Amino acid sequence: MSRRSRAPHILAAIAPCLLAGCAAQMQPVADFGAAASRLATVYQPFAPGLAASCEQRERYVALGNPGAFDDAAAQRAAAARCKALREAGATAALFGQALADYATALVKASGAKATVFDSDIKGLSGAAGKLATRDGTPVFDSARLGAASKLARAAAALVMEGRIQGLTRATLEDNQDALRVVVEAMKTYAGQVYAGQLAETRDVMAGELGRLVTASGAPTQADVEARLPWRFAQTPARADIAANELEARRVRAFSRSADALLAAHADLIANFDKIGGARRLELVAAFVAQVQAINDDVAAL
Amino acid sequence: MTDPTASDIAAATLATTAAPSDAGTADAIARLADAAGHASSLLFNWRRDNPGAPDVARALNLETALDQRAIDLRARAVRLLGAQAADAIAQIADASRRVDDFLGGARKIEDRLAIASAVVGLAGAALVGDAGGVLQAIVGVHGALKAAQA
Repeated sequence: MSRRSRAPHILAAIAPCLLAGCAAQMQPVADFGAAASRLATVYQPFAPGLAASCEQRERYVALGNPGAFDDAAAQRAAAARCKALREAGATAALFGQALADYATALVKASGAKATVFDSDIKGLSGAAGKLATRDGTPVFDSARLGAASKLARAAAALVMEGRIQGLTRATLEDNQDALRVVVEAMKTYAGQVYAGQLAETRDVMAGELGRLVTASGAPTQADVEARLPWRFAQTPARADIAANELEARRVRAFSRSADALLAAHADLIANFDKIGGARRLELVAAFVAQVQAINDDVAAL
Repeated sequence: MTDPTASDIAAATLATTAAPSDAGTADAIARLADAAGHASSLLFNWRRDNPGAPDVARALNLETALDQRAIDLRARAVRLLGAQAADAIAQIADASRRVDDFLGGARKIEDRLAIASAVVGLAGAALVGDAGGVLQAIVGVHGALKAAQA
């Protein structure tokens, strides 16, 4: 095979290799972005959940207080009492939004396609393809032209990918501390503030359930009718407690996976130049599966 | 010495969960909120289980005060978290914006010209059909890439 006829094959072989190399390097960034995005999604309900749990506790307390009782009035009073936590929830939502934005930016950057030069390249190829000698013979070997176009696209992709990789690396490095601060804030909110509220609400509900069970006892058949309200009231109380416990499980799982996310981010930076490296997102993936299992539990309730 | 009543315990908790200074961390404030809230819940259950106790009215008042304190402390903890994370949130928002700006501005004319110019050389060499020329043109493309990456 002559040097001339071998050239197009070499060119054709180079292009996909160049592109494949770039794509492989960005895949861990895309994986990380997706995992961070899922974590932000799991966190999202925690923000309004704080005030909701507070209101639920206040409603249960109101049931046990002396004096007149009106369910709607009790709900309004609970909302007013927990208003500060509703406002706090709006602040807490900002943490999750920041993480979601960051994740989205990384996914966008890692998934960017180098197609912006395609029209230029196609234009050049098209113009070259039309060139002919005076006798109408095409000047250009179509195979070589095709190979040149393919390499040109690979070259254009390299420029874009190179710049995107530079931007992505800088984004990861520059924001490591910021990400840590935001994720730690999310952890403190979820693991301390929200978890504490959930525990208190659960204590009150569990106490009420215990009293409902005690009050449901009927020494004789004649007593049963009068005990029915306490017996029926047990079911919604148990459902409330179960939902509270599931939310507490989500919070605990979130804290563990938030640590895994920070570790994965540091790992991503350390291994950024190693193609195929930084794939240790198993903990985050396991967390996502765990949350899915919890959600399945909720659906089964 | 007589055993402390539930009200005594609650009053002591109320005193120890007084609002901390601004120097306190959000974590510490959240723990104080837990102490106040837990005491309030204990008091509620005690009151419900002992409706005939002599100090039940006082217990109700203290329970309500502890509950309010827990809410206030939790709200304060989150505000503090927000203040501590404000710069980090702004930085991350800025980084996200920069990625969007970059992707939006990828059609910059300099890039297009540099690549188009290099492609012209490459295509020309390919057209002539000279493998040596193609390799030289690849060097040209490489140079354009370097320049564009700089």
